[in-house]
Amino acid sequence: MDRVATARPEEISDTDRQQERRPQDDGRLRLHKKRAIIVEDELFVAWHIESLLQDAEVEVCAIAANGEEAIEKVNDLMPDLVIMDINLGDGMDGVEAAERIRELSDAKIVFVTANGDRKTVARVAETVPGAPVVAKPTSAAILRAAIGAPQ
Amino acid sequence: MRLPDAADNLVSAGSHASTPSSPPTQRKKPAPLRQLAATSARQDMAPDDPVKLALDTALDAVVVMGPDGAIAEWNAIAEEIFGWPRAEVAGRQLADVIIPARFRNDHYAGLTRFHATGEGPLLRKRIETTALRRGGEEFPVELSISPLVRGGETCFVGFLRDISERHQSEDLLRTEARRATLLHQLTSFAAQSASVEEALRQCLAAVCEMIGWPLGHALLPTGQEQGELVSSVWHGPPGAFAVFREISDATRFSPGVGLPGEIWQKREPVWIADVQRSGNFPRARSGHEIGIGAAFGFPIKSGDQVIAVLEFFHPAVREPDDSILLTARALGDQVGRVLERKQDLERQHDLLAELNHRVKNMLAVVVGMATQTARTAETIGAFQESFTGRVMSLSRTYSALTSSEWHRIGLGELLAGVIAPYADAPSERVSLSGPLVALAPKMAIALSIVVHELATNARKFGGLASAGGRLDIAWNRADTASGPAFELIWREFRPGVLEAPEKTRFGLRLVETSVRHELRGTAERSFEADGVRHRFVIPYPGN
Repeated sequence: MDRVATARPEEISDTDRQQERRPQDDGRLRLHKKRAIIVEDELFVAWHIESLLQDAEVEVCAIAANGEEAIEKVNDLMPDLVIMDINLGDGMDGVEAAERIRELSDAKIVFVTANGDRKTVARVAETVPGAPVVAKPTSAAILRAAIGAPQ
Repeated sequence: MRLPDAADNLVSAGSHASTPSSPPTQRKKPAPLRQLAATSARQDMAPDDPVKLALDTALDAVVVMGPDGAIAEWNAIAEEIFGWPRAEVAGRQLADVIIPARFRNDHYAGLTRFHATGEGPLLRKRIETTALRRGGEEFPVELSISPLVRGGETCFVGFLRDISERHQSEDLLRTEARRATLLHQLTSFAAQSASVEEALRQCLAAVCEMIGWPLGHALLPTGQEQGELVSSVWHGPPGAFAVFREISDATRFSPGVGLPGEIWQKREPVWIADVQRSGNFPRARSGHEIGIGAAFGFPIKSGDQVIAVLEFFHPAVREPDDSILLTARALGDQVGRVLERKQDLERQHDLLAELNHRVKNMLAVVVGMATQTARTAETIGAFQESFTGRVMSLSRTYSALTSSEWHRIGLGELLAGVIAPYADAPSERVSLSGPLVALAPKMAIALSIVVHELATNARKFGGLASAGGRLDIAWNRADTASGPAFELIWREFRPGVLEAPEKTRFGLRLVETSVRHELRGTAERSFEADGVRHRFVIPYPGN
């Protein structure tokens, strides 16, 4: 690394982020950035994905740590994109959460998971047809391709 | 081959008729052989006649038929195997006595043809066919017919051997061989199949085929001691027995309950000839027509453990078959050993998958650490120090978790391990006090990241930064309305107080967001006159 990264551009906490208004609500005309929710229980991973999304011009409007919270936030914030981990500790897993989210939103769902085995991929294909599955750890290029952002 | 075929194909008798060598005799002069044909059976030979002696000491039944098809001679063995005394059959048509009715016309046609053409291709050959006993029972015989010509007339000498026993043992051998093959096939099927479920499916199919029963069902125990048996896979014609299958799938069998439960408890095969009359077949009492008559099943065992229970169903009532039960027992043991290896392999496979998952997850965390550390570090040296510190701390927690076999580790142990690299003379400068709080792996990892950030800040700016500083960490159970929790107080004392440094911002943000996000807890921070104080309340599930 020959270049030192700059400090975080913004220090918005999770709670602050939830209070942001949706673009169509703020009364001003501007280019509609895609808005995403990250569902990921590991904070470092969530922040990494957040950086990758921001670099791809996607606004992260919330980070949820489990399935229940994800459903609630999708319901509140109606994002365009949900980045979903599968193994979320106790309670419902990412596939179940995604199935419920499909019922209440048209958001594109992209799984980012360390459970990249065939069984899991088959389960995703059956439960949430069409949702891409990206293996962890992921890179900017792979994530951009999966969310359909320009490379 | 059948007797009438042979008769149908009698060969030209124009050739030789071998003369049996006369046994040495001290008796009266031998009767000339030609007498045989000429002698009517009604005229008994002398008891010491060598031909009669030869006939009566022969180990096979010997039957002589005259040119007209009548019985001319009939020895002792013929009496024995056909059940007719010589006196009662002599002179009667052979066909009426020993040829099953359905073959008699062929017999006469063959005889007529022989007399007309002299042809009989099966003469002087050993053939197998079916004969009739006095009681009407048919049985397999080995037969050879030799023509005997004397004075222009042809008689036929038939040598017959009852081969029922040989047939039975051949049948038995065939069955045994088929079962041995089946056992072998099943063992290798089971070994090659991709999963235990697939192996069970193979087993069901093979057993159904072997015993000719249409429906097979495998159940798996949920646990060894207080578990239940639950439906796993079926074999049978699609759509058939739908009601019964539905009832079975919805039933969970405790040890001793129903056919599967009984097999599980006894650890051996069980046969129910008629499920409607059985006292232990609850599925027959559902009020629905289930279409099942007999049922039978056996356990698949490894040592004393029942790995699976297989049950089979027939629409009609069937009495127990010992040989099926015997085969089932052997099959259960044999397949059990293979399945046990299979289950071990599956467990191993699962472990590898789990390992892969953990490694990938950890790498994702490390990549996240690297990018987040890079965003906040001002120099490469600072990046290296922070990043290495974070990775090393994570690594120590992984080691501690591995020592505990990834069960739980104590909060005190975790704190001491994470803080140690940042405290000189830790026993004097750091105090840890609190009851045993055993942390599950996921919590331990999240908390170790939090504690590591607190410790590096303490080392750089707080209680561990200079001589005379101190760190007190205390924890206690602090259950909340929503469940069990513990409270962790992190108190740093530092002589010559400073205000909260700007540089701690990322570390503190990480600490507080981690507590909220990953640990679902609360975080409070205050700067007192003599140092910083953190208070965390963290839910503590499963305790």
